Amino acid sequence: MILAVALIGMVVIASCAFIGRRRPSATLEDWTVGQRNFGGIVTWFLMAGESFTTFTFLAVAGLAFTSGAAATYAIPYIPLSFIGLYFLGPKLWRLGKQHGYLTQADFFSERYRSPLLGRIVAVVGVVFLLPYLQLQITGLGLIVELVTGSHQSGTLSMVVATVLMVAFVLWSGIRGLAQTAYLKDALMILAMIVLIIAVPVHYAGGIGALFRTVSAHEPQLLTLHSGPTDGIWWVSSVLISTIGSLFMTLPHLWPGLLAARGPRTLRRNFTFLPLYQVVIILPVIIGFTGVVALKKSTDGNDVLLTLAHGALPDWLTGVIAVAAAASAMIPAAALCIGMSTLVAHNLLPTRTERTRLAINHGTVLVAAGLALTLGLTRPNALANLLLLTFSGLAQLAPALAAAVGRRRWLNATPALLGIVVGVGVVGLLTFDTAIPTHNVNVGIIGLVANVVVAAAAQAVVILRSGSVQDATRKAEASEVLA
Amino acid sequence: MTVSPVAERSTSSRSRAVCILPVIPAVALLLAPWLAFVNTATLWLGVPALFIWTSIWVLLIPVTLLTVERRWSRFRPDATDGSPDLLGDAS
Repeated sequence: MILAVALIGMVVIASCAFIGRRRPSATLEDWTVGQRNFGGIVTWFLMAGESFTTFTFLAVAGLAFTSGAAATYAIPYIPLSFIGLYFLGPKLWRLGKQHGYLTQADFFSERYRSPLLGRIVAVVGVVFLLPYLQLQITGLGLIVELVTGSHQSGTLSMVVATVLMVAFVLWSGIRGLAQTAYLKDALMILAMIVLIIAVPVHYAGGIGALFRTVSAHEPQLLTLHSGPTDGIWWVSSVLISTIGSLFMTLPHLWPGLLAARGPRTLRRNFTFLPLYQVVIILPVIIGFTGVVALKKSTDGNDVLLTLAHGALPDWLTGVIAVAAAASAMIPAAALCIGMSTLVAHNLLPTRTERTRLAINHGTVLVAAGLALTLGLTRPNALANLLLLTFSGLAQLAPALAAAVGRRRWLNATPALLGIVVGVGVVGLLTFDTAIPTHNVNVGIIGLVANVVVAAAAQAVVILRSGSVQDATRKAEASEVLA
Repeated sequence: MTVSPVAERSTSSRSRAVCILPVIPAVALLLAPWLAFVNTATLWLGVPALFIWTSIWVLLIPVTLLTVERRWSRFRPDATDGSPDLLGDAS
């Protein structure tokens, strides 16, 4: 019953993408950013759809279950980034419109007059997004497996969802993504409302009774207390996530921004989107319900669906599973679009539009196929790389910030050096746990190293050339960076 | 009636100053772990104080950005995108 509802739901989600699209896009630009004329509502659902993933559903509830109030870090970081994006987003859109950007790498290539830097950023983007794509597909399988209790059902769902997602992405590109985002967000809100009413009432007698119980038995969970998830961890996690989101360091977020009609549409969206993020408090409350209802040994990622399964009838659990599956399929589709355009537009550029589209569509197939294969055969193969995805990509922030204004503050080589050192520091601190970080997010430490190295390298360049402008001219003339 | 350049500059400065407004919720949110009355096991309205604090300030972000939009951004050349249609062409 649950599997049937989940599979039907996935087909309905994919079908939405086909509705209203009679033939596939003829150009990569149309496929990636439409006609750059998406209005406010479309842009809203596109951006909201990309920001709510399986993480929102499962991991936030899991973090609340294991670490209590520390999970509240997930509430403010995207709204904080929207404050910055209110000012930055329109600037990026204008640059994109003026220079025809389709990808994040286009920005670096054009602003730094360095196709090489653009290609390196594209490679970094593709490499870091692959584990994120795998996470969505693996997460979808786990969701179905958990609610049906069958491993085969999970595997079948992963295959079906990936095939459907690839089909609608290839057919309709960003337009399909926007169409499915409507249904996905409606389902997600519905699921959250059902869960927040049913789960605390079923297991704890309501939200008030739930927190009175937690306050009486485990009051430390209601605060940010000493330990691995203390106040320093909370603030540095909020900061690195805000910086990464504000400076659009995740490449798959760019098509949604570039597809908007204009600055006013973006400003209006960034003004009101924070309202939507308050929804994240709901899975946090569900996670707290797990504290009083489940064994301590329960896996954090299983908390939300285990509670849902115990409190709801099968058909409604199936609807929750569809909502959770949608929160994997839509971001996975955005990731495919982000990765394929980086390859087709920046890494393997060709002269004819037809070949570009063929490379692009081939990349979607390869990326989704690879992520599915790894998800089925070696689900933990990219786990280490995933640890680097957010903090690693956040290292692009200083180079982006330095080049977004009228005056560019860095040359390509110092910017690249900063990125390399930042990613290196993040990698070192992530995998060598013997080095103490005092609960500071490794991405923040990487950013400090990144900025120091980039500034020092820029100082050397200026000393040798006289000014940033001279240094830029000399670099361009010698084509060292091209 | 003509507006003197000095008065115009003054209005422009005041309009720009409003851009600082969104900094207030940002600071309030980032200070949360160190505010003893927020980072406490005491419940506000039946839920943890930290929940209420973060939710209220997140809800105030749109208010501050709307104020910026009204006081500053509407005078900018790109105040409109050229069409009132909210949906645009996404089909």
